[in-house]
Amino acid sequence: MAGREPSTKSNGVRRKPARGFRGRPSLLRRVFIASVGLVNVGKHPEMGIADLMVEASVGALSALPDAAPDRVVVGNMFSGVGCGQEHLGALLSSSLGYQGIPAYKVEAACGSGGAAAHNAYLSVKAGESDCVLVTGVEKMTDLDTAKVTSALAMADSQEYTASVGATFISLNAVTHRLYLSRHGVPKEDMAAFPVMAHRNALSSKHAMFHKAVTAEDVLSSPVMSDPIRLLDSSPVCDGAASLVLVSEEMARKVSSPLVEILASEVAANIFSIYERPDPLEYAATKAAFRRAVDRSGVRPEKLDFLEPHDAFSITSALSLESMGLSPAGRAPAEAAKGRFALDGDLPIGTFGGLKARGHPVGASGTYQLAEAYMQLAGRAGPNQVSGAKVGMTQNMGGVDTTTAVHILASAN
Amino acid sequence: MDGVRYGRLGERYREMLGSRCPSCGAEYFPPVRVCRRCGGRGTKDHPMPREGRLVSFTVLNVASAEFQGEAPMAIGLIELENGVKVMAQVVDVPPSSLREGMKVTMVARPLTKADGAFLCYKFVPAG
Ligand SMILES: [Zn+2]
Repeated sequence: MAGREPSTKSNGVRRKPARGFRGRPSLLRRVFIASVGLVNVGKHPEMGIADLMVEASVGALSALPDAAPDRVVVGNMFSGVGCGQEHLGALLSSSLGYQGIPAYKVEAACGSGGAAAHNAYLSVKAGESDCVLVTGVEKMTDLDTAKVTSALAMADSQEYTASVGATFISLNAVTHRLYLSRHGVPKEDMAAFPVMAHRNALSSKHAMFHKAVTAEDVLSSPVMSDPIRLLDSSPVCDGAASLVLVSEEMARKVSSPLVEILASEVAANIFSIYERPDPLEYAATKAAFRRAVDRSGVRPEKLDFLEPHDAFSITSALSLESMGLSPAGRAPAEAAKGRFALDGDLPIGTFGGLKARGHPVGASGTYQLAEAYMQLAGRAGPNQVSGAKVGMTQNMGGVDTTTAVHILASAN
Repeated sequence: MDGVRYGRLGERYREMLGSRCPSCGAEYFPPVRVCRRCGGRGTKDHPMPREGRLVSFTVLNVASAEFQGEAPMAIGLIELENGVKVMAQVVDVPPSSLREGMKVTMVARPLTKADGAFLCYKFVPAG
């Protein structure tokens, strides 16, 4: 197959040689996504956690017949309580027929997928790996609702949050109420986020939901933890998404479209919302975003789309605002006016996001990155953001307790 | 909640026992070993004030496995008089009467109906 030079110019972003943090020249290498593989998100009683991982991984690897991963990184939040299975790194590498390579799981609650991709990125960047398989996976539907609720609460303090009765939804619900009252936001505007997510998912093949909803549907859906309603919340589901990250040298040998990871940043916040000076401040998102912008040299107004962590309507609003992509208290109104729609100024959740594509928690970060790849490779079908050259993903564990931000650009 | 865990946490739960940094005076609940304000590593146990204000709240209808049969449960984000914030159940008040800014007082109550022997901090309307 014809070799190809990954471009430094055509994405319109990197006209200078790679620069390290704070502008220091970087001796480190460039990192590309060479292919992705997705399991359709949903309830998969027929598939165990290994089946999910293998299906996504084989999907990603089949586009690269000559590539053999020299490292396997799994992103996952709660396979131990979810299906009694840990040791996912070796389970996946062994299932794919590999022996002797590094293989392990990375965990950061719902931010596990983004953190796993970050770990793989570092390895390629540092020259330790040339080809890394990253697979995010979560198997949630073996558990009943009460057990899933307990499992998700592990993202926050077991001893001072979960054990006194608070759930993960309830943490987001208190921020939702505080946000509405602080900024005087009408609840109808908040409903714009799920309405938009469901609209984008209609034509998204791998999404869980293919059903449009109206603001009225959202506001009359059952109350989970007020003011959060069922349709403000991402669903319980199963899924796995894989990425193959390659070095520049390896990138020259593959024929699939290439997307460069211009920045991969992770930041951790003060653990629980009640320990923070302002429970509405997403300081981890802010820090990871700021570093990613600095490192990539991409100005935020140049982003063609964003895959935010829209686990709840409130997390969409606070994520956009903490990155300065919307003024404080304005994101819901801007959403209601269509600014974040597929044909808007800054499309978000382009395949339905966590809300409507689905949120298999430890896999969501890798779904976001796979979707960003599809957009930047021009393979997003009916969900294509026209002319997409640069995009960003933001994946949170807990209520912005650990956040991974990636900035990506098409490299073909 | 199992007895071993309650044995470790019981005093913290019953008394809302947090910590205080002798170097800078910062107070914490949950307790911390390392002060987030000054980096001091010598914090000491310190009880929290019982009076506070409801900053925000929710009534959850979907409880975790350990709290089956307890929903609906009111969960408050409470700012105590010393500025420390906690998440805790708000009891003895119908959900429709909850208001942001409402004054509340800490009481020790059974954690759940099933765990009657395990007392934990909860909040009731003040006065
Ligand atoms: Zn101190």
